[in-house]
Amino acid sequence: MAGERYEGLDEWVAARGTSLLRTAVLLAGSREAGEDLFQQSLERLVRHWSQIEGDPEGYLRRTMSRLAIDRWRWRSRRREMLGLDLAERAGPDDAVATLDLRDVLMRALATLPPRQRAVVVLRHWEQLSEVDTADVLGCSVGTVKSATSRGLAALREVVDARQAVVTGIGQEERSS
Amino acid sequence: MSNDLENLLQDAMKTETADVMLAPDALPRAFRSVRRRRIAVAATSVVGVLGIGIAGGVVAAGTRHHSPQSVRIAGRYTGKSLPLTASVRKDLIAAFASAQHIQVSDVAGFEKGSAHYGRIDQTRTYWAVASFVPSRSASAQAKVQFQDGPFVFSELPAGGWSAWGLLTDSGGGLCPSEVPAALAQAWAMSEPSDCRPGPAAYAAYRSGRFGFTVHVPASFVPDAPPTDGDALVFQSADGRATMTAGGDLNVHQVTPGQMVIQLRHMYQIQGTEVTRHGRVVTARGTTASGQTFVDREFVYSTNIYYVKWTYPAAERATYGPMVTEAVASFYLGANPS
Repeated sequence: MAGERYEGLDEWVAARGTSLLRTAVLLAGSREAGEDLFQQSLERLVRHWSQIEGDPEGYLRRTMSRLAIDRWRWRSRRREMLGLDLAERAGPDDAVATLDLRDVLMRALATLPPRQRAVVVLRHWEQLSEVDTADVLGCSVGTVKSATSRGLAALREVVDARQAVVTGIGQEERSS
Repeated sequence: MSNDLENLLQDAMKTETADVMLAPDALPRAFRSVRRRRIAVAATSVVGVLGIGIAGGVVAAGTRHHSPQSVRIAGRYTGKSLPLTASVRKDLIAAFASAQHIQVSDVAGFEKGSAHYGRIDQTRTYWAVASFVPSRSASAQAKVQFQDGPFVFSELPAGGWSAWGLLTDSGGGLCPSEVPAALAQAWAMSEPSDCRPGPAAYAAYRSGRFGFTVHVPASFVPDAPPTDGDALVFQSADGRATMTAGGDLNVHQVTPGQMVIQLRHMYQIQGTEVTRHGRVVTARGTTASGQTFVDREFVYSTNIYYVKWTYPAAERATYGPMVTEAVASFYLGANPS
């Protein structure tokens, strides 16, 4: 489809596209925004395909991460981040509570500042090392460490609060 | 606990994305978009080389060189395309490097046909648009910084260039929303139909007390003038956006450097940027409630003039160009018309 200039691009996108799209969804905080982010990044990859030296996956991941935290392009997308309402109540059933906790966690992830979210996604979804994460984001390893720590702390706070609510409901229902 | 959270997080991310699949047309769409972009850039380049300007719907051919072509907007402001000099090139590269946090040595030069430079005659403000190409010695990380663009730059009357914004691609071509209207026409930048919004009409407001002139969207409604005459607030029809234009006597002899500190104290909001170029200090940011604010202060020894905007961050496509126009039109003196 793409000719010599784009040799290998079709195959590469077919092999790696879905996986990287999933990363984009997590980086952007919603499915719609993630698809948009991936498409923008893919366009850049196409434009620069013949000039990319080395690993195109690293290039696309770097592009997506950077766009996701880019203040100009993504400022207006903050509206799409889901609000977190800890007052919502779930039943005490364990399976339901676990599902609910996942949902709460994903919503909490979407509300992290973009750089913290990117660090958490790259470290815990892409399983990149601190050094590789720093390379992708163009920051120091120290920044990655502190952003990871702050991001996880914020998520832990939400999870703990949620578990306290669920436990409280369970106790109320048992005693009634 | 830490491992529990990380395991739960990984599990949640896996569940969340389990049914996310790449659409079969993702790559063809990317190719179509790239082709459209190339066509749009090429068209702009050809028009620029031929020195063609569009005035009031009439296309006038100029010389082969960049002879200045004046275009009048709303009978008041005129934009003039100027030849890009070596010193301006150097300044723009430095401003780009600064904005993207890379070294000047990472920049090889301008993307062919992407650079435009010009002036709004009445306000004596200079603007430029350019995309850049990386040098061979640039690192992979630095090269990523070149993907954005074209960049819009503004030079303030007191000197210094700053990256003002980016031209966005609507899918049908580049939208000149960050470029003052007078120069967008002088540079023959057409607006694809899918850019939002359409060009707004502006009215000139002159402060009787402070003697400056500034453009205000014609659809904005002025509040009743304050009794002390210091500022006037204009509101959008739905009241969701406001523009305030006013001034203060600089009784404390505040310097531009002190104004930077003042604005940093005033806007203690994460992500707020305060920049200074000569006498002009600008604070931009977004509040937790989703309101974008832009506060531009012009600091002189006797007076401080200001233009302030607030609007919903989600409506940047609508209000961003209006902020650009208002800032570009600020002029110490009577209405140029």
